[in-house]
Order: sequence, then structure tokens, then C-alpha cells
Amino acid sequence: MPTAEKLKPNDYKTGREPIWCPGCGDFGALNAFYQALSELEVEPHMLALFSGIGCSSRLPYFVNGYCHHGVHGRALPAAMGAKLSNPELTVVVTGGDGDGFSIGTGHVPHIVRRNPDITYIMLDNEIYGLTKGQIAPTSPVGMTTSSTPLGSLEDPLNPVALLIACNASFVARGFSGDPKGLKDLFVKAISHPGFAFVDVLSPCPTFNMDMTYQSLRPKVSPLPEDHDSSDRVAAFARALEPVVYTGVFYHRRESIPYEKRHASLRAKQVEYGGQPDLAALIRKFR
Amino acid sequence: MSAPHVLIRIGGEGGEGIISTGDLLSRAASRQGLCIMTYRTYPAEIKGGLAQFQMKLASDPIRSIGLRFQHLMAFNQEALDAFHDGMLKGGTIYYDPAECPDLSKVSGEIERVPIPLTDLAKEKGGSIRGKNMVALGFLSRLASVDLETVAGLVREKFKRKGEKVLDSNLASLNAGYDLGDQTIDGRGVKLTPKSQRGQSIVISGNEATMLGALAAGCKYMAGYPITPASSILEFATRHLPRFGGTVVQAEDEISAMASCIGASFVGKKAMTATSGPGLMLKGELITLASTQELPVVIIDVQRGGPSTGLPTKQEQSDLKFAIYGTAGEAPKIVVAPATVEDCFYLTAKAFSLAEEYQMPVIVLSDTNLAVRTETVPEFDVSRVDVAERLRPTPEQMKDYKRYEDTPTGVSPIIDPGTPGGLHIAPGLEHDEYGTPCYTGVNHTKMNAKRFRKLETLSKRAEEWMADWAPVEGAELCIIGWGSTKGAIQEACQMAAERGIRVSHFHPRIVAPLPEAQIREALSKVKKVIVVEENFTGQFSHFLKAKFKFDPVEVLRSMGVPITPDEVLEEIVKVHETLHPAKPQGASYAHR
Repeated sequence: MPTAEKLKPNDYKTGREPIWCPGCGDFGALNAFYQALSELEVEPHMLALFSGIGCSSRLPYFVNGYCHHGVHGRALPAAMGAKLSNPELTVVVTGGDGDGFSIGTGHVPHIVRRNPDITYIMLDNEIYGLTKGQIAPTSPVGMTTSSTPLGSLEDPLNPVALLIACNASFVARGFSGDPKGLKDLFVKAISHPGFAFVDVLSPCPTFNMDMTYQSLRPKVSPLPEDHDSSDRVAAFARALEPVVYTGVFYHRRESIPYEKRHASLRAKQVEYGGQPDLAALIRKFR
Repeated sequence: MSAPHVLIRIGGEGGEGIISTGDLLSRAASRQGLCIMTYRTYPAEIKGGLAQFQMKLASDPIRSIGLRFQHLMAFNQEALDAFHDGMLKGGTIYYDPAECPDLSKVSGEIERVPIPLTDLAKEKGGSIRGKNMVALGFLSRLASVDLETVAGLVREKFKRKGEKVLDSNLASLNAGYDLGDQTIDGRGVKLTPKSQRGQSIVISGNEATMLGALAAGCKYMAGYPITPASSILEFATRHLPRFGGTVVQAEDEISAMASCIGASFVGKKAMTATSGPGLMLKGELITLASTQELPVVIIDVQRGGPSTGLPTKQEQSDLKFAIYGTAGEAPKIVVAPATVEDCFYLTAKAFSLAEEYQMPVIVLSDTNLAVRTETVPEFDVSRVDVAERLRPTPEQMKDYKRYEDTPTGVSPIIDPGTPGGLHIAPGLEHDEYGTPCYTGVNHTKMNAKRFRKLETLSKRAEEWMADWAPVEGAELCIIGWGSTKGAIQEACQMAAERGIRVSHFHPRIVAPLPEAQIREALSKVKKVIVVEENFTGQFSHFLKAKFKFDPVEVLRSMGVPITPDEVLEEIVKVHETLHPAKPQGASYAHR
């Protein structure tokens, strides 16, 4: 659909009202996402948006595009199958820290190894919100929740450090209290030709009083201007600092997306095996 | 008993070329116009362990291979001791004297003929690695396969390994054939190829399955290595990209299934292949595809279960999981190929059904079909009718509803990338637009819509849905499913020779059942025997619940295919209960 004029952020709304609690950080992320889509002039019919289960995984219901709300923790492989099957699509995955780093963690290093051109937006609230306030893989140790009444016994995962360690080709962190900065990160991530990860600090005002806009603001700081995002070791070191940096931690310039590797493989098989001819292949069994 | 045939078993250490000897011999026989069927067992261990290859050669098409044999070629002592059981009276053991010093475990009317595999390979071919070529030459002579035909195949196989290797192998092959000339005499079997049978191929079920997928236009395949399904993934890797598709070896079974759903969501025909443990892991995503109404094909090559079970053995025990094994009520279609030929045409059909009814289709293959090779008529790609998804009419496009409640239950679908069809595919219960809706009235309505697709299908009563061989005046009918078909057919024929008339009903689609056809089969007989290779009678339970009758259950969980003799024995028992003239035959036990 050739758009006569550029779509505005509001044109990406579906008319379905978000079901999130008032004050939820996901609103800020959603608005930044609408703006990024508008800025990049993504045509809605070329957008394929995937999610799993959780509050943030409801996001696709509110975005004009072809959307897929799947099962818990499996949005990454579903999105990969879609991107490989139609590389023309802009493929984005949204979901929470429980979806991505608890039930679905197993898929993370593997999608990173393959590096399809997919953007993964994690709305990280350090809590299970949809199931009403249990401990999450990113919650700090000692945190009191409905499933840890005397405090959590487990150390949290560091999503940014994990993705850099896995060698993702684009790793960033944003804050839903900074919609402008977040929009810029989404634009960069979607434009990156490979697997791009954006960890979005997105407070849950209902179940996580330990991570609020107020508590985050003093901790959050943009990455220093001299941070070299092509330096993976430096990026990893920044990810381990107590300061909660936002911005692009790591961005590998040489990035061959998985779907391009598959296209090369197809060409190579035709080169060696000739044009596809099923009857001829069957005759080989004579 | 049946038409002339020869049954040969080859046994030895895994890695000694047992399987390739069998492969080459069977392919050469097929090229000469004979029919073959082969069966092999692999050790479950990684290296070493015993391997055996059994083959049946005949002039006429072969339905089952059975477990008995006339000729055993033993490469070593362990194979000799382990594999001579099941030899028919008057059979012959050919053994390598260098490797088999002790014949004391062999008893009865069995001839023992030393074949110096090791010595001849060393002497003529210059390497003991040519042992299997000596055996191949010898067995070719035994089965009256031309030396030139088999030598041609050996040349094809070794041409890339250089002249030296090829010459050594050919020398061993010739030595074995010459030895056969001197020793075989009357033991040789003269089989006459039937002319006019048309072109044949020799192929395994797993290869046929993937070819069927290619014929149907499959463009995405993701799998995770699992015995005995891995060779489908491997075959796909070698060929699907050339046909414009994509193959991914996923990090786990769940990822494989999820990525197929993603591929299907954007409009591609997608498949995965697995075995029982993997099917269970995919369960949640199978329900997702069902409620999102996305086409996807899941090949389940059944093996012995539960859990890791008997990973290299035959069993038909995933049926209940395939039909019912989901939390929540998720309609899906289950088909079961009965032969290697079915693996091709029915897999292709599975894609058409998936596209047409927009739901997961599970193909229940099994170890027996997967690893056996068979002479089959060359697959005819033009016989495959390729179905596509239902698209909306211009009228429907004015107010597009992805999950429109229609008389057939099937709703028009638009693929991502196409303007005008924006929608969400939800795992949540939803209304016709895909918007979440949890009211009881809506849930009941959408359940009815989704399940209506199965009703639409079960009413089709088309020829492909079942093999129905009614016999005039038969009091008995055998119902089986999957790869037991050949053994049942042979047993019915053997029963007929004894004057017992038995009909045979063998559905290719097991869910939804072809109801009208089954009711007709049931109405004509006094007693039904259900034959299946599992412990609890899974298909029988399903039939009993649906049709309210009391069949005799013939159940086997021995890890090997049921034989015609076993089925015949049960037929005779049931026949005797219906005709209790002979008092001693009045009771029957069905297991």
C-alpha cells in the first residue's frame, strides 16, 4: 500500500484500548513505538509484530499491523520463522522479562547466533504483573513479592550483559520515562540489519514499588559520550556498572542477517544441484 | 503360502558395511525388475553394537517382510549367535570362518556354509574393508542378481573415492560372486521379474515423506534431531533450499514448532518432524496453531515409549496424544500412512488438509515405515493436488473478519505483507475479528466454528480416506491403522486360503474418522478385530467410544512389526468362537 502521505503516530493505533494499569511504564514504550514506526515510515501491512504472554505481550493488540499473540516464551522463534519466510517484513518482538528471560530464555542465545533482522523490545519491570506480583528473573535479591514473602533468594539476571555476552549484534537500554530517547533507540534498533535487543526499564506501579519512575530517575544516566559502541568488551564493562546506563551499548557493524545467509544457501544449492525438478529428484531413487 | 520370494538377513558389527551391503543388493534387485522390502535394526548405542539388515525379494509387490528368513550372512560370532533365531526350516547360515569359530549355538535343520569374507577381501581386494563387498557379490549370486547391475551401483557409490578404492571393492565383489558360482548350486533362488510393471524406485518412508512435502509446496521446515525422525530433517536440509525453501535445525522441539507457526502466519507451507517425546513438547504450540487457525504439518515418526522408551524400535503408541493430547479443546487432523508409498501421497495430502482447514495436521508415521526401504511405483507428482488457503471475496474485504463464522467453519485468510487485511492472530479466545472476548456465549460459538471444520471434513467420505477391502460373506472385519496394513492384508489372504473370509478396513485418516465408511464396515460383520502395535489399545478405545461396539483387541508392544502369522492366529481364534464346532477352540485370549 503506497502511503499517500506519511502516517502519523496515531495512525498506528488500532482502536483497542490498552488494558494496562494507570501509570504503567508500557504506555510510554507504546507511544515511543508508534513514533518510531511513523518516523521510519513502516507501512502497517509490512509490519509483523510478535509477542508471548505477560502484560507487555499485549502490546500487539494496540498496534496496526499483522500481529501474532502466541504462547508464553516462544515469540522469538515464531518471529524467526516469519522473517525467514518473508524477509521483506519489518519484524518486531515485544515481551516482558519473565517471558524472555525465564520461560523463554533458552531461545535467546540461539536467535543471537543466527542474527535474523528482528528487533526484540523487552519491557522490563522486574516483576510478574499479569499473574499479580511474583518474583521475576530480573528482580533484585531480597525483594519481597507474593511468591517471596521473606525476600527473594536469587540473584537477578542482567539482560544487557547477557545479550552482549551472547554476542548480539545490537544491544541497547532505554527508559519509559524518557520517551524521546526510547523512540530514538527503537529507530536505531529497527534500522539495524540483524538481531537488535532493547531492554526498556518499564515500571509497574501496581506490583513493584522497588522500581518506580521516582526511584529510577536518579539511577538512570545516558552512556558517556565517549562510549565506543563498537567495542564489545567496553560495552560489557558498562553493563556491569552500578549506574543504570541508557543508550546503545554495543553495535556490531558487520552483521549478515540469517535470512541473507539462507538466500546464499539457496543459490549455492541451485549452483550445485541445478534448478529444482522434483520428478528428477524422485528418479534418483531408481 | 505366497508367491516365490527370498528372505535374506545380514548381520554384523555396526560400521562393517552391513547396511550398505543390504542397500546395494536391494537396489540392484529392484533395477532388475524385482520387488524388494527391507528392514533394519540399528543399535541404540553410538558406535559399535550389532546391526542387521533383512530383505525380502520377490517377483510380485511385497506387503510385509515378517521376521522369518531363509538365509543369514553372519559377519561375526555375535551376529551369528544373535540373529540366527527366526530362521526357517532348511535355511542356510553363511558365516565368515575367520570371525565365527563357534557354531555350537546353532541347532536344528540348518545348513552351515563357510564364506571366507575376511580372507577373500584380503587376498583379492587387498583390504579387509572389502568384506562387505565379498558378501554383496556372494548374495547377488544367491538372489540371481546380475553381477553387472550390482557392479554398476558399486561404481556409482565409490567413483568419488578414487580408482584404487573402486578397483579394490570391485575385486572383492567379483571374488564373492565367483565363490557363489562354485558353492550355491540349488540354493540359489530364481526370481523372474515381472514386465509391464512400470518404473519403480527404492525408497524409505522418511525420504518419501519429505518428497511428499516438496510435492505439496512446503517452503519451511524446522526440526530438532530425534530418532527415528532425524533423516527427514537431513533430507530437507539437502533439498528444500534448492526448491526455494528454508530449513532450520532448531535449538529445541518447541522452537521448531514455534518457528513453523511463524512461517505459516506469513503464508508459507510449514512442517516439522519429530517423534513421541518431541510431539509432547510441541503440544502447547499445536493448540496455539489450532486456535489461531494456522495450517501446519507435524510429522510424528512413532517409536517405543513412554519417555525415552525404546528409541529405535517400532510402536504405534502416540495415537491418543495426537488426537486428544492437548489441554483445552483444540481441533486437529491426524492421518496415518500405511505404506512407504502412502508416506509420499499422504504427507502431500496433509499439507492440503492443513491449508484447506487451517489447522495442524499430524502425520503418524512410525519406525517401521521410516527406516524400511521398499520398491514402490515411481511417485507421480501430477497426482498430488495442491490446495491453497481460502481468500476473502471483495464483499468480505469490506469488513474483513479473520475468524468469520462460516457454514464450513473455514474463514478467509490474508497473509502479512498484503494491504487491507491487518489482523491479530491471538492465542486468547477471540471474536470474529480476533479481538479478545471471554464471554461464555462467544467461547461456545468459536468452539463450534473451529470444530465445524472437522465435521465438514469427516463428511467428505472420499476414497483416499481409507482402504476398504470388503469380502462378500465375511463374518469378520479387521480394523488396523498405519504400518500394520501389509501384515493384515497377508493374514486375510492366508485366512481366505483356509476358507475364512475376512474384510479389512484401514483408515488413512484417523481423526476425524471417516464415519460413514466405518459404519458400513461394521454393519456387515459379526465380529471386529482391531490390530495395533501398542499395549493399551489406543485406536480401539477411540473406536469403541465413537461406535459403541465390542471388538477383539490384538495388541503387540514387542518393538517389532506384527507378522502375518500372528494376525492369522488371531483370526483363526475368533473364527472358532463364532463356529464352536471344535470344542477345543472355544476360548480366545487376545493378548
